Formats: sequence, C-alpha cells, structure tokens
Amino acid sequence: MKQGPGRSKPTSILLIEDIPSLQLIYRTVLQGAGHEIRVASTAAEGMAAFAETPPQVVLLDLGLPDKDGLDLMRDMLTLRPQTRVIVITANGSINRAVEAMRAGAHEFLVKPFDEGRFLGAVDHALIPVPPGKPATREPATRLPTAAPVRPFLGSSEAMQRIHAKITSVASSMATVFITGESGTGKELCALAVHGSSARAKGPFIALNCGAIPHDLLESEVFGHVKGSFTGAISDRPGAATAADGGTLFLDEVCEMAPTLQTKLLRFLQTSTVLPVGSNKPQKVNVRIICATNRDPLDAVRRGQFREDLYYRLFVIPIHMPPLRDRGDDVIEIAESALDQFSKEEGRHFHGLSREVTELFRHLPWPGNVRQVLNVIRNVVVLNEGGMVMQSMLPGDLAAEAGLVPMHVAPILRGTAAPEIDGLLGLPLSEVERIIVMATLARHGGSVPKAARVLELSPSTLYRKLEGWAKATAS
Amino acid sequence: MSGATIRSQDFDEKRFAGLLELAGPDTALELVERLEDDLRAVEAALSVVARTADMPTLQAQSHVLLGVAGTIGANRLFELAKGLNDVAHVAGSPFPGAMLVKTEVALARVIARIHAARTQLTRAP
Repeated sequence: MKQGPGRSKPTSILLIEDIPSLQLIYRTVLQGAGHEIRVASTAAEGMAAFAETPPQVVLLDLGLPDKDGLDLMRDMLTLRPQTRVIVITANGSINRAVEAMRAGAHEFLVKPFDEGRFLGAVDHALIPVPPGKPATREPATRLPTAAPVRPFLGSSEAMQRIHAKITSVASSMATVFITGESGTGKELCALAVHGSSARAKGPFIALNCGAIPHDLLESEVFGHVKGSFTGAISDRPGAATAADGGTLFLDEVCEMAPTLQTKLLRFLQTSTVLPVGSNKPQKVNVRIICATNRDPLDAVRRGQFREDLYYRLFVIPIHMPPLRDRGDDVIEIAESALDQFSKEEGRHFHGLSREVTELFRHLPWPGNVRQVLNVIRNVVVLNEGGMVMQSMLPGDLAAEAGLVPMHVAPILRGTAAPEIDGLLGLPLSEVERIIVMATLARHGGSVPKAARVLELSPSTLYRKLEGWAKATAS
Repeated sequence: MSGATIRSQDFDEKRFAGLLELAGPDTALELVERLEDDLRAVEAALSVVARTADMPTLQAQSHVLLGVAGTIGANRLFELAKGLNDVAHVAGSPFPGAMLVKTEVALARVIARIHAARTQLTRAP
C-alpha cells in the first residue's frame, strides 16, 4: 500500500484499484485537486486500510483480483454504513453498476476515466450529511421477499395504532402511501401490509426510486428488450413485471423523474407495462405501496410531483412515527437486534447494561431504527460479547448522529427553559451555559440544530459542552 | 504482431498529451512506464487466451483494456475491448477469435506508441 506524499492529517479517501497505471492517474488527479488519499491494489489491502482508519469516501474498482468488488463494498458498509462508496466500472458491466447501486453504492463512474466526472463525484461524496439523514443510499431494489427480514417490532401505543391500520388495509387492493422520516421502518410496514394480504405468497419487489440514475429508472421499473440501449445485452423484466401477482413497493417515490411519473400514472391506469424498446404492452396484476420521507403534498405544491399521480397513490396514508416518539420501543428493537446479530456473527452478548439502556432512552435517534441497528451491528462486530457497556458504543455515535456527546448528556437532562428573572444576577458565563443547554434541550439534543439557532459553529458548541462537562465532572 | 504507426483516428494524441500534462514532469515517465507494463501484461494474457479460449480470463483482461485504452485515448482499442468484454459477459457466447486477433493488432500498435513516449521521456533532460 502506498500513501500520498507529505501526509499530515487523517486521510478521508481510500482508492482501491488494481491496475497500476489507472491507480496512478486517479491518485495524481485527486492529489492535484488537494485531496489526501490512501491507495490499495487488492481487496485484502483495501479492507485492511478501511479497518485501520475508516475513510469518508471509498473509490472502488469492481474488477479486483482477489475478491468481488461488490462483496467488498457490502463488507465495508456492514462495518461502517455511513461510508460513501463510489464504484468504478467498465463500460460493459453497466448491469453490475446497477447492482452496486442496489447494494448501497453512493455513485458509480463508468470507464473510461473523465477527470471532470471523477472529481465531481468525489466532491459530491465529501459533502457532509445533514443530521438525521442516512449517509449511504438504501439499496435500490431487492429480490422478491416472502416475509419480513426482521419482525415488525414495537409495542408502544403509536405502533399499536400502526399495527391496527395495517391489519385493516391488508385485505384491500387499495394503494398505500407510507410517510415518515428516514429509518422509521417504512419498508417493513410495506412488507407487513404485503405479508398480511391475500398476496402474501406472491412476490414483494422493492424499488428505491431515489437510488437509481434517472436514465436507468425506466428500465428498472418497466424492463427493457435486448439492444434498446448500450449495455442492454439481453431482455430483462422490470420490477413491475417481477411483482406480478404480488406487491410493488416504490420507495422514495417523490424522487421519481417527471417523465417517469407520467409513465407510472399510465401504468396505474391501465395495469400494463411497456418495456424500454418494446412495442408489446404486458398486462400485470400488481398492488402498489409507495413511500417517501418527504411531505408528498409539499412536493406537489413545489411542482416536483404530479398532482394527478399524488391523488392516484395517496389512497390510504400510513405515517410511521419517529423512534423518539415511540417510548421504550428503542430498547425492544436494540435487544432484538443484539440477539439476531450475535447469532449471525457468532458472538455471545447477554443484553444492554443499565447505563446503555438509559442512554438509548434519551438519545433522539435522528436516524431512527436504522441508526439503532447500525449501532448494535457495530457493537457486535467489534466486541466479543458480554453485557453491552457504554464503552463498547461507537466513539463517534454522538458526533455522527448530531447528538450531544455522551459525557454531556447527564448535564443536559432535566434542563428547563430559563426564566429571565432566574438569570439576573448570574455571571455572564453561567447565563451562556444555561441558554445553550436550554436551546439544546429544545432541539432534542441536536448540536447542529442548536448551533444554527445560536449562530455558532457545531465545533464551537462541542468545545463548550466538553468544557462544561469537564468542569461538572471535577 | 504489427507495431506499425498508429492512425490518428485510432489514437487521440491530444487526450494522451493532456494526460501526461496532468501527471506533470515528475510523474509522466512513471505513468508511461506503468501504462506500458499494464498493456504488455494484457498482451501476454491475451496470447494465452487465444490458445485456451478461457472466457473468464478474457473478461478480466478486456476489463483492464477498457479502462486503460479509454483513459489514454486509444479509441480503436477501446471499441474492440468493449466488444470483447460485452461478449465475455454473456454466458454461452462463442469464443470471439477474430475480434481477439484484431484487438491484439490494435494493442501492439498502442504499446508501440506508449513505448515511443517512454523513450522520449527517458531521453528528456
């Protein structure tokens, strides 16, 4: 493995490319643009470098000599889901690129090398993720599933209402529109509707409309015939055909390109699909469930989503509540995941310690259930077993999730909005501390949100919090 | 195998020069050395494939050619490599012997061009 010359700060880009000349070109271009990179020539080298210092962005060639590039990407995303992986692929393997996007790649670049596209993709991948948003795309399409991968957990009052609604809509053919923040379990809800319906034995096809390039989306939904575009080397059925007799789940439906919205509307009206390059419509019998983490009506108002399509789809709405509004569901989900992941990884964990349970209850979990699962997966992979202690939690849990650092959480709890009379007579530094803590409490412990309101940079706010935490501890 | 002068439509000299400029004086020689080594390795592997008709190796080597040829502006080699790669990806395809021969000829010409650049850079003060 080679490193960029004069490396003085932690690198954030890992390049995994086995062809020495291309490796040199990529490295030269990246260094010329001011990026610091590490380079690996094999999957084994790449994984070792990834584990040693997790990079923010991985540039990954799919054709590695010692391991399939997609398998390597999956391993990396399992270990650190927030990593952004840019897949580099040869022109003839466009289908592999689509497969990569399905598996969670951030972006793919098709060879030959183009400096502008290359640097643009890297710059885009290095843009920080807003708090509460998942860094990595969800896989775009999934194979047919007969039953939920994980049970649809949660016994809170909010979830009991969801369960009741699912039961009542399952027997209908009506379109279900699921809304909710990222990571709240919209796909599990869709699976539960499908699994409770008369179509349960049919396929469940999930398609993430936001994870596939617009020019490939039509082919993904409706399929294509051989020769209809470069890379279409054989006939391929689309998601709508694959879901015949079952359910088609369109996730992130508001991200669908306007031209495809028109075709989706026609599909809903006629129940026929027309593969790209074909002139023979095919009749299919599909129930549609769609989901978005945006306000769909707002997307209509902004002209980003067709109004007629909205009314065609928004028949039975289900809103998935955020985890912070679900009481002790977070503990139930964490314990279930701990049990499941321990079995998968061959580890022996006994449960969550009291301090971790308490901490989990108080974290606002902006990434919702997905964030909990990632935290538990991280704990299970990186520790041998026993009781899950606070020291086993990812060190960057607080910072990455936009949460208050753990050692600050105890001094934040119970912070009430200050009355002006109570502040009079206090030293200015103490007034500042009270105002900051009250602002944090008002924004669910989110440092970035509080920082915005206070017109401070998040790093300044973190520094202040650490200082106060140290003072409190001493 | 022919190492005759490469035709202008088959090799984008402007793109190749831009690449050397991008590498800069400190790295340009290393770049052409690596390019020549990579292409000679493919050349050797393809000569084995021509005898064995081993499709997985053809797939892997045409993948390398696609990346390198496209990047340096070797247009004809890129198109031929693309054809080989497409065929190698389709299960049950007949072995593309004729296309492979054409690719080997084009590859030899590109290697000769890269070698000339290498010689020129080695002599440069």
